[in-house]
Order: sequence, then structure tokens, then C-alpha cells
Amino acid sequence: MLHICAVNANEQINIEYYELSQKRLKIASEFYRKWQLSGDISDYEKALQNANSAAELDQENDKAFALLGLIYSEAINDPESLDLATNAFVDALVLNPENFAVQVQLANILMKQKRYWSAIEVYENLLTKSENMITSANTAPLALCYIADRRIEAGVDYFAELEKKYPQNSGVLMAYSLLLKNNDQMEKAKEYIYKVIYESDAGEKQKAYAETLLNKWTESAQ
Amino acid sequence: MKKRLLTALVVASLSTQLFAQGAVDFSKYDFTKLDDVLKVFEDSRLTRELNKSGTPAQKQAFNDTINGLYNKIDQRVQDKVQNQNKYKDKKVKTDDFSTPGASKEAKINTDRDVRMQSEVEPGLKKEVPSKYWEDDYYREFARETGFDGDLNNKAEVRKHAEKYRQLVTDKGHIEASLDYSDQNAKARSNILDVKSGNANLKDAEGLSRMYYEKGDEQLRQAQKAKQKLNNNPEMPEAEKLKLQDKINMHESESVAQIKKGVKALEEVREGMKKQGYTNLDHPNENFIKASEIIKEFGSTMSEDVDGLKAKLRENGFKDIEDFNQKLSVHNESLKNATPPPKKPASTDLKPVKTAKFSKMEALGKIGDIVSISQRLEKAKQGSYWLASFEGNDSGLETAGKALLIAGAELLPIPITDYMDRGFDVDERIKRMIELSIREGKPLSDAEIGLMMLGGAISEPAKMMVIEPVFQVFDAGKELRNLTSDSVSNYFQAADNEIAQKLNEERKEAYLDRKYTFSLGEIYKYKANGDIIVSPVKCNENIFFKIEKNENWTDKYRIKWELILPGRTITLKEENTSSPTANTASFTIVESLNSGLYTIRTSVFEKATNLFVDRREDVFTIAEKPFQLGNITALNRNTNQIVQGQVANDVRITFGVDKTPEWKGSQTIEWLINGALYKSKNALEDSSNLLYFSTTGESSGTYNVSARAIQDGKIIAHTSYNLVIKLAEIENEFKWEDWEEEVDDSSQKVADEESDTPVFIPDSNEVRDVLNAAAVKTSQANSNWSSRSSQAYSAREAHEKQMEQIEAEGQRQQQAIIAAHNTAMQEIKKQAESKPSFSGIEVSDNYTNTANSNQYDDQNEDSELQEQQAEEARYLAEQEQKKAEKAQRTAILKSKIEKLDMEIRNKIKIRADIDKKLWDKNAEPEKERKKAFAMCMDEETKKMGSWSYHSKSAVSSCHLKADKIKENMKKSIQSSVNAIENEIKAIQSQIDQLFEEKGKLEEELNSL
Repeated sequence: MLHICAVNANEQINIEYYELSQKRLKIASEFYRKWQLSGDISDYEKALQNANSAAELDQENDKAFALLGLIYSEAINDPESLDLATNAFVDALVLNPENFAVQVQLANILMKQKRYWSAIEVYENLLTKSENMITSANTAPLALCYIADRRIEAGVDYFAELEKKYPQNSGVLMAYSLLLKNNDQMEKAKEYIYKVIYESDAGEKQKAYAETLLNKWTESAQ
Repeated sequence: MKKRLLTALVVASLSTQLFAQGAVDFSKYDFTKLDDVLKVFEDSRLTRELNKSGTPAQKQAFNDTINGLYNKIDQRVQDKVQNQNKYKDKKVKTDDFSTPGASKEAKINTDRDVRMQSEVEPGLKKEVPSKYWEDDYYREFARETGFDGDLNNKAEVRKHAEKYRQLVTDKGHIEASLDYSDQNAKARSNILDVKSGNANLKDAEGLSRMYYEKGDEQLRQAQKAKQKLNNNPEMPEAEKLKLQDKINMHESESVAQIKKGVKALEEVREGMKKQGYTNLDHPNENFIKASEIIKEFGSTMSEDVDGLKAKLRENGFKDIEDFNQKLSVHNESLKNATPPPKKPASTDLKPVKTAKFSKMEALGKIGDIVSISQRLEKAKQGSYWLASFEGNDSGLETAGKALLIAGAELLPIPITDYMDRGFDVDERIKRMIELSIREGKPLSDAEIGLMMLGGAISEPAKMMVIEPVFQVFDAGKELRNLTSDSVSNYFQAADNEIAQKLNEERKEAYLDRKYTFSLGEIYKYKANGDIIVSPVKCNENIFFKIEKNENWTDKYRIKWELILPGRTITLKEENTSSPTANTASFTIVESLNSGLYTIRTSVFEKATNLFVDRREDVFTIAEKPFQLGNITALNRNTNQIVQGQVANDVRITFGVDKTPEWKGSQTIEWLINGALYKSKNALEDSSNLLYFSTTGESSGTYNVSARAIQDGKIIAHTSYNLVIKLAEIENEFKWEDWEEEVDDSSQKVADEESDTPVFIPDSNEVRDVLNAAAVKTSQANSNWSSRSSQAYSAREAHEKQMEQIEAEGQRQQQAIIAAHNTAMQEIKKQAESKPSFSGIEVSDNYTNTANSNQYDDQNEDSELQEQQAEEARYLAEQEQKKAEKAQRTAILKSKIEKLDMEIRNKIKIRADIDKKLWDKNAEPEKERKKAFAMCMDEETKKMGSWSYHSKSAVSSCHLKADKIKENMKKSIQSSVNAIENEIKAIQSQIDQLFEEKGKLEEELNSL
């Protein structure tokens, strides 16, 4: 005798919604990519429609909210869209706080909105939660946020602490050095740039760039 | 009640004797004085009493005084917070935290839950964590309220503040519930929406904990006092009474706090009911009654807390604490309520508000996401990054500039990091960054603004948002539970090793699809059915076909494409189930150039749009006979085609049609009267044109010809006769005459040389002159050959000048024409000076040695000519090098093209062998499945039913099948090894070809 799991009507509906949501999510991604190539506004609208619907149909799907946020975030000249993007990213993170890619996107959109304090909070939360996230890709914009928020000393304090924990992390050292430089501590800044070149886990290009900066700073000092 | 009042009165009379009979007489207090305010404030019951029965003036005075105190303290604490790096330049302000939604009407607060808020962004207030300021607050409060202990003793000053129910709080405080916090994206407490039936309670446990803690904190203090009382039986009566009063006060205050929890429970329950929640925990009757008793209690001096406790006991509660615990259970049980059935979400695709996107500008990336380079271009036109620093504030401007410099230095960092980690970074960004690194130049302001605000930095992270969406579909929905990790997994792929692993996993999934579909090879044939082996010609029809198999169903779609140099044309795209899906055909039209073409088919899974497999084949379109059309001559002075003859000072453009057959391997040469006038690579601009001016030319017929040269051979030729009629300069100069004169002069020198012994056999002086003359003669001869080169270079210069004239504006044209005329005059002058080298002059010279002036002139001429000859030689060498370079380039390109074709073929072979290996490796598994199925069939027969198999039977079948698989694996090992060797061999050939190609490309680039 064949036994099947009983599926009640409500669950059945949920399954169907889930399936439809997944399909629309996929379609939204396709249109989003297509729009990136074509620049055709109708592709953008279709991407937005489908992502919206995907999020509505399956409200536990963090990816739908993440994509919705991403699509909204493209309208960089429309403050309302940027707010919607922020909300969608926040929704995605409530559903899945470990979604680091979304956190980066959220920080990025907050920067676009010139909400540097919030962007700093997101970045710092990200770095606290995962050591993997302590890379230049995150430390550099974080340092820039501190400068943009005109709180360079606070940035220096933060990175000084981080540097104690990760003394060889090139992302930390570079950001720390740049903040020191902007805090009129050029000699100390150079010290940390040296560390990037000789004592860090930096790759070739990163080291080359550090050398360029060092030379530039030295030249400008002369 | 009586006992309660009596105790209070005794205590009051002992201390201040402030109580009037039956009620508190507040008229004795001067609430403009802080001491009096604190006396009342110290006792929460008295404060509540004042709130209840004080006059408005008394209450106002009380509030003014206590607020004055708070302002003084707050200002000092705010200053300290603002001095900390984290909050430098941020506005900070204390905020009295009250229950969200509580009445705002003027009243005296019996306690103070204070938080500090900072306006961290315009319009956004965030709490300053209490760790940054609580010690300062308690110390300042103590300083201002008569604390006589050590202000640096944190515990003591805190204890003092607690006496006045001062609590520094933030969202991390134990009492803070998620639903009450406004530190969220909405900046509004969720509890307000919950109570009004518009939101779900997020944190029932937090709600429960918060109110329990509020009541319990007071009960703990009461308990402490009780212990003190019990532990000191010898305590003076007055002290005992005082302590007892303190116990009463704390218990009374606990009831006031618990009352808030009771109200919250009721309001939240109502809100949830409105939303359709069911299975809401129903408190029993006793609890409801007790709740009413609690709600009625005013916690003032005139109310009896012991009476309240008695009533609670009557309703089954041991004491206030017992009720508080039960209340907390009820509050927490709200989380167990069943939510209403979900309102079915609309499956319609709702139209988005397109109005706001109607303008292209709204979308920052429309028009500039198309490519990052375009975005950068756009940004260069206006640095909107600076927009936030506009204004008269010079400090802001300075900060803005500092930021731009910082941005220029910081922003390449993530990109270089991504590059170091092997992530794909947009090529243009990569180039831009690399260039800036090499040159040590910061990026431009606009570029920074764009990269920062346009999000170029987050492009790789953006892919990390989209990629997992695709991964979900790759892996199927059963992976849903795992997908929450997939993003973090992907992000962790910052580690190259993990990235590699993920790539391999994706590749495996792709190979699976590929071999499931099993796409066949492309057959190409002509209309008569002949397989295409040789190049196809113009107007021929060609056909392509792939054998179908059972997988050509509705599940897949196929795309046929024709790949041309630089672009791809989609021939058709349809479901693989379509009868015509496996064929494609087209006619070779005139416009298609000769050369190698690729036909490509790609198969995709329809549901997911995932790529399945691809086949490519090549065919060649035959070379068309190369022809140079007729030369046409355009009179640029009149812009009309030249008919008949032309006069002096006419600019003419000769031209032939440039056709698709013109290739980089060909050189187009232009000649006038057989003399090379211009030589250019066929693909270069204006290679099909010759600019010419009749200025300075003599009358006559000029044969203008063009020829195409490939591999050192003339492959096409065409010519045109131009008639120039120049009456006015007829006698000035003729090339032919000049050439004849030169011939005559050299002949004459030779003739005269033969006579020398007759005239000056013994004179050394004359011999020297003779020797000098001989040298001159030889120079005259060589001068002719150099003049011939000179003539070419002069013509070339002329041509170049004319090209410039065509390219530049009218004003420049005149200048160049003048220069051109000067150049022509120079040539004429040189020609006119030629008679000075004639035999007559030379003869005069050596017969008349006294004519030294003339000799000097000739000597100078000779040096000039030598110099010019040297220049001409140099130009000729350059020309030669150019031609050699063009030839080498053509050869290299052709070799690279051939290598490409060879590589493509080898890769195809490699793919076939791959499939062979895949199939071979799949055989044991197939056998295992087959064996297992057979074994199970046998078991079924034994059991007589298919519905049930014993565990042992299944295990035994698995074992048998596994064994068969293992044996099979062993038996095919040698075949697998052989195939793998084949793969290695072909791969090594491919690698070799790539290496060879790389070298050639390197050489080509160096050219």
C-alpha cells in the first residue's frame, strides 16, 4: 500500500506559491541581467514586477527581497527607490541575517544615500560576524565612510582595535593607514603601509598599489 | 489601610511632620527648592500623591525644578559624550523614555528612564549605548542631589540614583523589548502597531521579561529591606517603622509597574484578536479579578498595599511576586497564539509605478550600467559626488576635497583585492586601476564619485546576490534549506580554494546536463546533398543538420547562430521538439566577405534557461576575384569629376572604390608616370585615395595608376590619364629636360676628363683641381640618383601635405598650399641650379682656376645635396621597414588564424574523448543500477508482492550491485587509463598550439 504524506490545502497553496515565487524570482533575475545589457526600461520594469511578486508570494524568501533591493538600488537618482531598496535589504536580512552579500549591498545603498553612520554600523556588524568579511573590499569603504562622516578619529580607534586582532590583514592595515594619513599622522600611516608591503597577506596588486601610495606620499611630503 | 497610613504618618512625623490628617499637605513644601522636591521625589508614593492631589501650581513648580536639575546634568553628560571620537560633531541629546503611546498630558514622572540619542544622520536618531555615558550620568546626578560619598565610587553613586528611580537605559538593557524599541528601520515602536491590530508581536518573551523585570526590581528592593529588618531585631522602633515604610513603598511601586504589564497584556491581546489570532491563552477568572485589583491600585501614599496583597491572596495568588510571575507567563504565552490563515497573496504581476522611472535619468545605471566605462564617461561630465559638499561652508568644502582625495586613494583597494583573489572584475575597471597604479595617479574626482555612488565597487558583491538565485535553480528546490548557506558559502569564496571548489561543483552540474541531452555533431552540406569540404561560393545555399535523439523534446530549446568577425547573427531559436529545430540553412550573399565562418548551435533547458551544450563547426567562403575598379578624378576646386584637361593650381583627388575584399595583408600603391607616389596598407584610411595638385607641374599627360600588392605580387592594377595644360609655366621647368641635361652633363664631364693630360700634364695645382673636378663629377652622378629619390620624397611630402589639406580646415589648407608651393619652388630651384653642374661650368672651372668664388658656391651646394641624399636614404629605409612590418603582420595574422582553427578542431576532439571517458566511467554505475533492479525483481518474485521488501533483502541487493559495480570498475580500468592518456595527449597538443599562438600574438603585439 502506498503511503503518501498528507498535505493539507493550506500547505498545498503554500507549495504552489513557493513554486511560483521561485519562478518569478528567476524571471526577475533574467530580466535584471538583460536590462544591464540592454538598458531597456521595460526590462527593468519586468524585473521589478517579478521580484516584487516573488517577495509577496513567498515572504520567507530572503533572496526575493535581496533581488528586489538590488533592482530598486539601481535607481540611484530616485530617493524613494533607494528607501525601498534599503527596506527590501533589511527585510532580506531579517529573514537571513547571515546573508553577507546583502549586508554589503545594504551598506552600499546606505552610502549612496549618504547615510554613513548606518553604513558604518552595517560594515562593522559584518566584520564582527565573520572574519572572512575582513577584506579590503569591506574595510576600504568602511574607512571611507568614517572620513565621509567626518569622524576620522573614531575610524582610527576602530581600526586600531581591529589591527590588534588581525595584524597581518592587508585590508585592515591599508584602511588603518589611510585613516591615519587623514588624521595628520603621516609617519604612522607610512609605518602601516610598510606593513602592507612587507608583513601582510596582501596579494601582488595590493602590494603594488601600497608601494604607489607610499611613493606618492613621500613625494608629496618633499 | 489604617495601618498603612499610620505607618506613613509615623515615619513622616518622625522625619518632617509633613502629613496632614488623612491626606498629604503639599503646601508645606517649596517646590521651587530642589531639596523639597527631592524629599517628595524620594518616595514614589508621595510623588504619585502629588500627581493625584497636588495643585497645578505645585505640580508645575515641582516639574520646573526637577527638569532644571535634569537639564544641568544632561548638558554636562552630553558634552562628555560629544567629546568622544565616536560622537564627535554629532548632535546628542538625552531623551526620557516613556511607554510608547502613553499619555503625553502634563504630569509628574515618578521615575526617569533616560536614554541618550544622537542625530547620526539627518533625521535619524540612534541611541548612544549606555556604556558611553551611564557612569557620568549617575555621577552628575549624585553631585547635584546632595550625595555626600565618593563621587568616583561607581556603585555608590548608582545606588544613590536608584533611590530616585533614575535608570540609564538603551536598547540593550534587560528591560528593553524588541517591540518597544524604536531603534529600527521604521524608527517607530512595533508595539503601537501590535496594539492597534496592524502588526505581529515580534518578541513575546521580551515583552514578558520587560514587565516582569520592572515589577521585580522593586520587589527585590523590598525584599532586601525585609531581610535587613529581620536580621536586626534589636533595631530601634523608629528605624523599624522607617524600614517597613520603605518596604511598603517598593511594593507599592512594584504594583505600579506590574499594572503597566497587565495593561500591555490586555491591549496586545485585543490587537491580536483584531488580526484574527486564535488559541490566545485565556487567563482564568482569578487572574482576571486580580488584574482588576492591580489596575485599581493607585500606588499613592493613601493606598494600602497590604490590603492589595490580601485581595490577591483571596484570588489564589500568594503575593505580588506570584502574580507578577503568572503575568509574565501570560505575556510570554502570546507567542503560542495561532496566527490567522494567510491572506492569499495575489498572483498577479502588479504594475510598478513606472512614472518615477519614466525618465532615463531616474535610473542611474540606465545608459551607464551598459558598461562601466560608459558610466565613467558619464561621471566625467559632472561630479555629483560633490553635490553634497556644495554651499558656502568652506569647512564643508575642505572636508569634501579631503574626502575626494581619500576616495581616490581608498577605492582602488577593494578592486585590487578582488583582482588578487581571482574574482572577475570588469575589464575596464581593471585597466583603469592598473593604469592608475602604474602611473601613480589618483583617479579623477568624478570617477571616485561614480565608483562610490554608482556602486562599481560592489559589482562583485552584486553578483553574489544574483548568483545564488541561479544556484537555487541549478540545484533544484530540495536545496532550499541549504540556500541560506549558499550565499555565505559563496562569499567565503573570497578564498580562492573555495571559489575553485564552487566552480567545480557548478561545472559538474553543467556536465550532467550536457551528457543527459547528448547533442550530436553538425553536418554541413550543399543543396545537392554533397558534404561541404571546400570553400563555398557566393550565392550558394548551404545547409546544416544535427541528428535528433529522444531528448529533443519541449524541455529544451535550441539556438542557431552564425559567427562573423566581430558579431554574431542569430539564425533561429526554437523548441527542440520542433520538426525543423535540427536544421538551418542560408544563402551566401554578396555582402559576406570571404574567410572562415562558424556555425554554432546552443541548447538550453527551457524551464531554467540553463545552458546545456553547444556544437560549433566552421566553413569557408571562397575568395572573390580581387579587382580594383576604375580610377575617378575629382576636381576639388570645383568638386566636379575631371573631364578632359586641367589647368594650373588645381587640386585633384583620385580614387577607387574600397571593397570588402581589401585586406590588411594587401598594400595599395599609387604611381604617377610610373613613379611611386604613395603606398598604404589597404585597410588604412585613404588608402583608396590619392591627393594631387597640379601646382608646379608642367603640361603633359600624366599616367596615374593604382595597384594592389599581396605577398609581393601585384594582384590588381588600374590606371587613369590626366592631361595638364599649363601655358604660363610652360618654359619654366620640365622634368624630362632636367633628366636629359643631367645625362648630358655627366657625359660632358667624362668627355672632358679624357682630355686632361693634354692641358695640364705636370702641374700639381692643376692636378688637384682636376681631382676636385673628378670628385664633383662623381657627385653630380650620384646626385642624380639621389635627386631621383629626392623627387619621390618631395612628391611624398607633397602628397602628405595634400592629405593634410583634405583633412584640415580651409584656413590650414591655404597655409599648406603655400608650404607646398614653396616645396615645389625648391625643387624647381634645384632643377634650375642643375646647369651649374654642367660640363660647361666644370670646364670653365678647371680651365680658369681663378674663379674661386664660383667654386665655393658649388662646394656648398654639394654639401647640401649630400645632406638631402642622406635624408632621402633614411626615408627610403623607413619605407622599407614599414613595408616589412606590414608583411610580417599579415603573415602573423594568417598564422594565428590557422592556429585558431587547429585549436578549435583539437578542442572538439578533446570534447569527444571527454564524453567517451564520461560514458565509460558511467558504465559501472549503470551496471550497478541494473543489477540492483534485477535483484529486487527476483526478491519480489520470491515475496509474491512488490509492496514490501525486507530490509535485509534490500541491503543484500545493494551489496550485490555494489560488488558488480566494483568489479566492473576494475575491468574497465585499463580502458579508462587509455582514454585518459588520449586526453592527456590531445591536451598537450592543445597546450602546445596555445603556446605557439601566444608567441605569435606576442610578436604581433610587439610589432
